Amino acid sequence: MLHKLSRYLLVLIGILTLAYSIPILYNTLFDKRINTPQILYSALNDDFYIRRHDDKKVLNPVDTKGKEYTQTQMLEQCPMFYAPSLHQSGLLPDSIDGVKIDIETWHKHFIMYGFLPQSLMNPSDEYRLFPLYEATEKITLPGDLCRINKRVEFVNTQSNKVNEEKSGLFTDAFEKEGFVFPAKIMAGNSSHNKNRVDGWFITDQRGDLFHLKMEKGQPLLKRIALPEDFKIKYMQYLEVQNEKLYCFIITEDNRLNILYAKDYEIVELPIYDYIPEEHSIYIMGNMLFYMFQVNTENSVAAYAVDHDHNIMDSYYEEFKPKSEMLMGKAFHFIFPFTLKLTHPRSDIRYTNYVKFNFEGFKTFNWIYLNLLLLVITYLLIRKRKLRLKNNMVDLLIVAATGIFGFIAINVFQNKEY
Amino acid sequence: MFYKEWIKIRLVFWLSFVVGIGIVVAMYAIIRGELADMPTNHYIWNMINRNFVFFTLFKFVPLGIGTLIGISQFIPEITEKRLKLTLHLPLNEEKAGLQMVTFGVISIFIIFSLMLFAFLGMGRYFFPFEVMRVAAITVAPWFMAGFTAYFVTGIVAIEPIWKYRIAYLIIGGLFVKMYFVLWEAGSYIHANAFFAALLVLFSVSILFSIYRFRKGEM
Repeated sequence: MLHKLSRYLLVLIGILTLAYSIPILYNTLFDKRINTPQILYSALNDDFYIRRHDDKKVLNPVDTKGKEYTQTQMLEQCPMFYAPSLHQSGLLPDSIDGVKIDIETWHKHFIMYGFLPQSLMNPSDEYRLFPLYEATEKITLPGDLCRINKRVEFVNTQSNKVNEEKSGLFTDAFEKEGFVFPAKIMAGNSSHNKNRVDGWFITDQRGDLFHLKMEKGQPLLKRIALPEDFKIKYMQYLEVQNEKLYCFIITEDNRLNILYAKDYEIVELPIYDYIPEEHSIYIMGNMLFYMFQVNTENSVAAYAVDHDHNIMDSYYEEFKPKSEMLMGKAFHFIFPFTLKLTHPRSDIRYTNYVKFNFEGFKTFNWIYLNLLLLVITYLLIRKRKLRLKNNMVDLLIVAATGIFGFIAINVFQNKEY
Repeated sequence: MFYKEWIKIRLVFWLSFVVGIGIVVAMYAIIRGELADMPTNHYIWNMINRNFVFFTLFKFVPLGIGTLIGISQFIPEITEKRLKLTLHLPLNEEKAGLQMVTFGVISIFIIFSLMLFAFLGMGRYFFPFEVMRVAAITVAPWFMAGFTAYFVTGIVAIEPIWKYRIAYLIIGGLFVKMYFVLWEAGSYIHANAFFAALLVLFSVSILFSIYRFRKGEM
């Protein structure tokens, strides 16, 4: 009996391996690139500009009414995006909507960040060690690393030993502020290549948010008041020049928030269709407005938001998803499902994690090939003069897993003696 | 029975043992040299923020050890036609096959645990616990690849028909490839348990080959 079971185990492993490998081979041969457009917002005439490129060249930008511009015209239309080059050619306007524009303040207020699933979820977060910089001195990489488990500990990297004195000092400060160990999410800039030290933003076991800094070797821990029902899922620290923002926070219900430096104010952004695990978001900010671009597999949305966090204008565009192109349609006819260990790097959903993702059975197109393979399997069984009764499981496997099962049962053949 | 297996693999066993431990020692010797030039905090910073993996040197060593032990254990059985004799002994064929595989698995397990022990133990001298925890997560699929390679070698070697041998080799190769999808440290944290389960299921699979071999020969 055990040898029968061993055959089905082999078939199972064969199916998994093939469900992983054959779609990759297929995609390597037939995959098409989707060129997601870049959206710009012009404060001059309150309109969006769309920059597209196809596989070979960059196309001329258009506005929402379809009017075409040259590249240089677009630079002039969107001064908030291209201020440095406009400044060089002397074309930067003096003021827009009554706000004075000069290149120094522009530099100070300009922010540009992109959050992709792979930047929100990275295996290097698993290290759970971070350097805590001294805020009052010249920025150099400290000789110890901080960990926050049952208590705060500083490990000297040279001797690989815990600095008990410093650890005790910080643990006391944490307990005084009501921090419930261990820490969960830790956001900050661990690079020593930075202009200032904002410290780290840390959530505790209960999900409360704290701001940790070190000044003259002393801990400085502040509790940050959170709005009601506010459960943090991801937190990204933004190091912006004007020191106005601290963090970009995504809650469990996929709402976007900004944590401002002033009074630790948390403001919700009016963007409602963003799923951090599947979409990517690009943030552009300047002294006049914020612009958010949300890219999904088959659409792009852009929102221009003013500094009071109201939507001024929005733009939405859908394009043909891969599943509707010829290669995508054929894919669903051939493969009933696929096993993805990672998404391809060109996919928005790509992360540096390996996971067993089964995708498929979305359409019923695979049923034709499965039926065909079922008939072939049946004929093969008859031809080999095998008993149908002993091969029922094989037929079921082919019916459910199609091409993968068909290959697997024929490689690991059922023999009767 | 076990003594017969031991005679077959002892040379390869000691060779794997020396190479396996030697590579770990050599790796830390190199790291010690690098740490003399570069402060440890910068070295660890590179790991955490630049996805620097300090132990890539022995990535494919477990795979090689698994394959070699598999070859040394199964190829003599086939070329000298001993397996046929073994399976004709008044023993349960499943039991005989399982004993053979168990012996191979135990030998590989001994080498791998010693390697892992040396790797983590010496690593802890240089680096904090968290670094070695992520390192252990990262090397786990490499060691599992070694076991998988061993089973694949067995299945391919015992298979009497060349056509199927090649097919098994392809599927086995693709299966091994699944352990090396990404190189970032910690990538396999959510996948290791699944792979371990698959490996346990795979370990019984050698019986299928023995069964085919015996029936095919008779």
